[in-house]
Amino acid sequence: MFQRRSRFGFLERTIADLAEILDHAETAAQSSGNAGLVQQLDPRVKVCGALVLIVAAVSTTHLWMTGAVFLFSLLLIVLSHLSLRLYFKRTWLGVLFFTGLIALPAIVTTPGLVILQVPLLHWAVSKQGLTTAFRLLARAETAATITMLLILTTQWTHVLKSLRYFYLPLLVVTILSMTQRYLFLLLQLTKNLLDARSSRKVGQWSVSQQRELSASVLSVLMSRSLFLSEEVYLAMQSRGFTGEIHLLDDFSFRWRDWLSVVILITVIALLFLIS
Amino acid sequence: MSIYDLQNANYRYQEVLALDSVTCAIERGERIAILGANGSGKSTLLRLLDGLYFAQSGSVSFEGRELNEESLQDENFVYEFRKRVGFVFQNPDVQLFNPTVFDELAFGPLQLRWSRKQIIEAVDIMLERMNLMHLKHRVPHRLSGGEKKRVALASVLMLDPEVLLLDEPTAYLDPKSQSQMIDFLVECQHDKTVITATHDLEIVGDIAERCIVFEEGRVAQSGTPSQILGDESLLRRTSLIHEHRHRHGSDVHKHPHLHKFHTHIQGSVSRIRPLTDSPGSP
Repeated sequence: MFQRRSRFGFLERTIADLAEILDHAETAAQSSGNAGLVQQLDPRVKVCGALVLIVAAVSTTHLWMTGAVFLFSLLLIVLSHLSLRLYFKRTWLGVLFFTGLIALPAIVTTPGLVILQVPLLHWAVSKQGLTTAFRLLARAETAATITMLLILTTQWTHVLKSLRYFYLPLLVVTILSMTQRYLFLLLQLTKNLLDARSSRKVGQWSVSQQRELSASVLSVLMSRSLFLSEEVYLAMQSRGFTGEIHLLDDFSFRWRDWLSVVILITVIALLFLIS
Repeated sequence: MSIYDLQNANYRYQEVLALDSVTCAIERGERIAILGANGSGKSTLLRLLDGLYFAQSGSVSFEGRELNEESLQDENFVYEFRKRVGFVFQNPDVQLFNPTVFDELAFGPLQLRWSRKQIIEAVDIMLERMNLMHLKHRVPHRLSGGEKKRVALASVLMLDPEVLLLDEPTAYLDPKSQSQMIDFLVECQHDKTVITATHDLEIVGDIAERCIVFEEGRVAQSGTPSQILGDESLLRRTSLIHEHRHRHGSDVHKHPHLHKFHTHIQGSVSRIRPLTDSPGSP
């Protein structure tokens, strides 16, 4: 495993990042087999429940309701034996950074009750602006948390099969299935390319050399990954794949699935009633 | 009726003509080696035989039915065809796309709607047979090259296909894994039609009773392994052998390199199944 140190250059950092993403994909596959609460539910309940929770969290105008859905998700994470540290590192920080970039301008551009003046720049921070930015952040974090919960507790093939139960067209499910394989292949290929470059690297590279490397890697990557993904599809076709997802165990509703549906409906209904 | 019948089959990748008017018939139960240098059209031919590509002109037929987009959309035909024809790709990485070795082996039977019990039993039997039981729950892309090849072969053999298409089965393998792979192939090819694309002449005698040599997308020659391997000018022309120069102490000598096992004893050269010695050879 790569250790991230500041003296490492662009190449090593990128390789470390890719290795981490590949590890992450493996962690997801492993944690979906754990004996936690959500892992044991029928995948259809999980997919449907995730959608309902996300819609509830992002459609409400009440911040406290988004917060309640977030707390409910936290409870499910703990009951599913998933690591909160992992969540913090791989989900919450990333979402905070990217959504923060989008939300930041809203703090000073939204008109309303001024609560703070930014020194030197003389920008006025409004109460409404802060609320808007915070609401956007809360919605994004909650939606990402629920999505990660689904990914970490459900095998991807089960998610796809569940989507077919909700009448998602076969073409869309096939595209989703191939996209996942394509991304995985792309990551592996990128890592191999960078490893090969790294093995021939002598001394420190200048910024312009690093830029040159990025450009060449990107161009090679596109054509190679397209070729490989087509090969994977042919290999799947050769073994009888027609786009339909077939699993060893067909889904079956048990008492805990029904109970989960009831709890979910109750929670959402209560939240909406209160709000 | 021949199991495969190719009539003037052509296939082109944009500017490059990969198969040029290929005409040949393959009989049921035949073991055939498709020989040729890199880029001679071997892999493309296998893809046509597996119904993954379609001839752009001419035809490729399986038991009298032409393989084209229309026939491969007929559900009944596809089901039977996929059950009866298995294809092991050259690069095992493209063939292993499931989360575990178990899932990999179960993939084909699942597509053909085998029952759960049948699949679990068949996977265990195949894992035992291929010495892969210890890898059952491993992630396929983390395996060694030899293990990946064996898993890829096992995943295809799961459906017990009548026709086995193998693209460079010994590529990427170390000598021990190569030998194991040949043993597996010899063991599993009874009563099967086995078509192997390779440029590894060392394995031809073990895996084929007929060879078809390809040169720039065309059939250059067809014959028994001894006829083909004995035709040095053909092998040289099609880049299947080359002049091999090497040193024994202070002596330097050269001979055609057939990729066959040969030994050097006490400064002299003795080869198993030698071709002609070049002048100056000790």
